[in-house]
Formats: sequence, C-alpha cells, structure tokens
Amino acid sequence: MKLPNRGFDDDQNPREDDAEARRRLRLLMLLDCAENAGLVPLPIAQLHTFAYLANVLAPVWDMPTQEGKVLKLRRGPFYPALQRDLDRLVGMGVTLISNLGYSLDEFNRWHLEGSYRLNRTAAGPILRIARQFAAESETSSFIQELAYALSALSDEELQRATMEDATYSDPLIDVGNVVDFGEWRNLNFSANAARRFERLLPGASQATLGEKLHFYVRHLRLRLHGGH
Amino acid sequence: MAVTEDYESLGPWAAAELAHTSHENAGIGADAGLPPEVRFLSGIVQLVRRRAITMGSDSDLAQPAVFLLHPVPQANLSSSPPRRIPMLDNGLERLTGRLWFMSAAVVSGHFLPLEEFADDDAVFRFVTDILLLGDVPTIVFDPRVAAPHVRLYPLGLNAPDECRLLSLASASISLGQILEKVDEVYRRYLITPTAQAHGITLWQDSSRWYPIKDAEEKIQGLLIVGILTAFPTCTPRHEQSSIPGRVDLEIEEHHPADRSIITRIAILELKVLRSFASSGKSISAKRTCDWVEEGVKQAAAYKADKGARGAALCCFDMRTTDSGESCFDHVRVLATAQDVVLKHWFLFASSKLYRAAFAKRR
Repeated sequence: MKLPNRGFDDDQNPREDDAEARRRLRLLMLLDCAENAGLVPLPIAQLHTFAYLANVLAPVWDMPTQEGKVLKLRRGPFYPALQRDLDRLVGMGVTLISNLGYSLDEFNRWHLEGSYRLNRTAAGPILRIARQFAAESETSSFIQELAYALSALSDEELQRATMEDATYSDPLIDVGNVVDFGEWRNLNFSANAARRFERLLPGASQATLGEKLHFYVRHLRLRLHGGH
Repeated sequence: MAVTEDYESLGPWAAAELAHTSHENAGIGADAGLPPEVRFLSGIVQLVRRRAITMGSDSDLAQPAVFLLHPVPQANLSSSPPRRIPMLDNGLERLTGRLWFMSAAVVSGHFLPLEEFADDDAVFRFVTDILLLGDVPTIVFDPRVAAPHVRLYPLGLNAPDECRLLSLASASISLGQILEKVDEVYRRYLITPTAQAHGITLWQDSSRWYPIKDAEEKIQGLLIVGILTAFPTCTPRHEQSSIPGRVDLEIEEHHPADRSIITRIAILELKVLRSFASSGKSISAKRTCDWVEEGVKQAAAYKADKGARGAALCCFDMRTTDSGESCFDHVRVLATAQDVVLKHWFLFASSKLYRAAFAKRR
C-alpha cells in the first residue's frame, strides 16, 4: 500500500519512501480509530501518545512494532518524522487541523499546537484499500481496540498517560535518553504487563486480546490517580 | 535486531497490583472483533443495568435516554457543546434525560441534555431531521414504563417500526434458551448454501460434500454473534484453555454491580460431522462415532472444570445423508449420566436437497 506520490521527495530512496508511506498509513489509521472511539479532534500530544501506545502494545496482539524506540521527553513521546508526515497530510488535504496555537517545550522551543481529524472524503478510499490487505486489517483491528480502551481516559489523562506507562515511566531511563522497547532490546514492560493480565481473570478464565488492552489502560488510569 | 529479551519484567509496575484491575473490569473488551452493532447493543444493555443498581440512580430524571451509535457529535449542535464522559461504563453517570453519542465499545460517550425537548417525538425529529442521524443504530431506554426494557432500532429512528424490545429484568438464562438461539442461527444462516450466502460459507465444494477445513471456527463465530445479540448481558468466550482441554464456547455472565462475580451459564462443545475432509479424503463412520463420543466427554469435563450450569454437544452434520440423531445412539447413556445435552443440526449441501427433504417430511 502506498499513498499518493504527491509530497514525496524525488531523491528519496525507496526504503525511505516505504517507511514514509507506512507512517502515513499508520497516522490515517490512528485518526480513523480515534474518531470511531469518539476521541477527535485529537490534539498533537494525545496523538503522539496514541502512536506510542500503538507501538509499545503491538506485541500483545502479536504484531510488529512500527517504531521500537522513542526519545523520553518531559511532555511525553513525540515522533518528529510522524509529525512531519502529519503536517504533509494536512497539506495534501487528507487530514484536517483545528484549534491552532503555539506552545513552548522543555528546550525553550516553540511548537505548533493543533487538533487533528481525518478528511473522510480523501482518507476513506485510502483506508478502504489498505484494509483489503490482511496485515493492515489486523493492525487496524488492534489500533481500533486500543482507541476504544483509551476512550476511558479523559483528555487530560490521555495527555499524561505515558507518565505512568510501564515502559516510558521506567525510572532507570532519564529524560533526554532513548526508551528502547523493540529496536535493540525486547524489554517491553508495557506489553509484559498487558500479557500478565491473561491469567488474572476471576474464575480462571483467560483474558482475551481485547481485555488485555482495556485492563492495561484501566490500570494505567488507576496509577495516574495514585492507586496501584 | 533486538539483542536483549525479557518477557517477564514489569519495570515500575508490580504484578501483585494487576489482579484487582482485571477483577474490577472483567469482560470489558472481551467482545473485540464482533460487529459494532452487536457490541453497541450489549454495551448499552449492560450500562443501563449497571446504572440501575448504582447508588443514587433512583433520583435520575424520569425521561428517556437515547443512545446513537455515532461516536462523534457534530459541532455547534446547541449553545453548550456536547460533554464527553470517559469511563461511562462504570455506571456513575446519569443516563436519562440525555441524548448520547456512543462508540461501539460503550466505554465513553458525549451527551446533549434532552430537557429542552417538549416530548419524545421532538427528540426523534431532532435525531432524524436536524442531526440527520436517523439511519444509525439507536437504543432508547425509557425509565417511565413499568417493566424496564430498552428499545433497539437497528436501522435507526428513520425506521421506527423496525424495533426490538429487550427486557432489563434480571432473569437467569438457561441452556435451553441458548440452544434455541443456536437453532435460530442454524435455520437462518447455516441450513443451506443459500442461507450461508448471507453469513459465512462452510462448503469447500458442496457438490461433493467437502466442508471447509475450519468449519467449526466459522460456526463458532456466528454463534457468538447470535447468542450475544439475543442475550446482551452475556460474555461469550471461545477457545478457553482449561485443564481438560480447550473449550469451544463458554457463555458467562458478569454481575452488573461486581464484574468479578461470574455465572457460567453454559459450555458448548461444537463438532462438525463430515463424510469428507476439505481435501476430499473420506472419513469413516467409526471415526465419526469416536468424534461424537469424544465431544460428550469433553463437554462433561469442561462443565465440571468450569462449574458451568449446563453443557451441550452441538453437532453440525455436513455428511452426505441425514440420519438424524442416530449419531448419538452410542453415547446417549454416557451423555445422560454426565448431564450433557445432545443437539444435532443437518446442513444440506444444496437447496435442492433441502427442498426434497422438506417435501418428504410433509
């Protein structure tokens, strides 16, 4: 699946093209699933948090992680390449931005703020074609269930979610360092915790894949409110 | 290439803290992958029931609650924007007197107050004429009626006569009721290849009686949808591991106030009886007999292991000839002793064969 060629750099190599197309498709899926869960328009910070959780929890559904590492920042995860793609998608008219503004980050740099949603007319056909592929359809099911699980959080809780995420909040990794959960090491506390729920249901039932995501988010919320 | 692997560590999280979360939220998300309309119905019925037993709900407004399967409300609907309620499914929020915009998972929702509408008709017209959402599945809960129920409009409020009433009264669901629903699913979606055209296809080559390889799995999926639609307070679980083996289908119900309290209503062991494998290799009568006997033993063992109220062996017969329930003759004593109900449904390989059997019966 490749998105329309408009916006690709002529001298870009094919592997970068492919990575870019995958990131853009991921963005469309994130926004589509967020809309189905009643979470749009989705502010930038929440969108990057959603993207991060879709990466870190992918192994729970036996899926590959699209981006196995992220820089640890005080304000939460931020993927520069993903943001560039998002801006490009806005330029292409595939996604829409509202509530524009600016904010100052921890490095004293100004950042564009905004909330995103799909332009259904433009994004709908792309998503329909993508879902004809089994792998993309399965990815979409996973991201959809994660979006449903995240809809249990308030806007403010979603923004702060990674402060208590088992991997991102690892106290052994300082702000400014890389959180690596699938690039050079498979040390993914979040996926481990979600998987651990499998044997914790009452009556000796096994938690389903869907339940594992919902339980993870509910537990994360509990921790955000100081309960463990 | 990852070089460090650890599938056990939870980092700053503690394993001992997780059980409470899973007990408190048991069943949430177990319906992932089912059709959105089915999830919506089940979620709303469970939400309304939970709210009804939540402290303070007796002072809720005596006005309907209208739920639309439409997660994002349009902007500028009224002077105050719709409010989003996360964790709506905990039952702490009033539902009545509000128009709700819901996702299929019924975890959170946005609402608009209904107080300003003169009557129910005005609410319906607002949905159909102003919001233009008369074609989305809608559920109405009206607390003013004597017997509590919800009304499901699967085609939306544009088709108000296409309405199904679902009681909210607590009544224990029996194995017999579940099997009646299985029978309904069979008649509607499985009985002939034509019926299957509306749901799933179970024949690899119906002209030669070759079923598909994963016929049990396909039937299982269809039964889950059918059972959950009929009994939205249930949680169907499939392929659950237990000490005696893997349970095909387990129907349980969580207590609306305490999700950790589970009633195991039924265990369904599903078997497809075949004359031929999907490859065309013939399957002997002896093997089918053994298969049925194994099914009875499995159902009995799972029922005992899970503490279920009832168990049934459900045989979907895709063989060349319909010999009725004679396939159970050799296991009747065993099944009675083990309290396992035996059910048989014959799947015709063509509509022509179905018509012939129908004419013969008459």
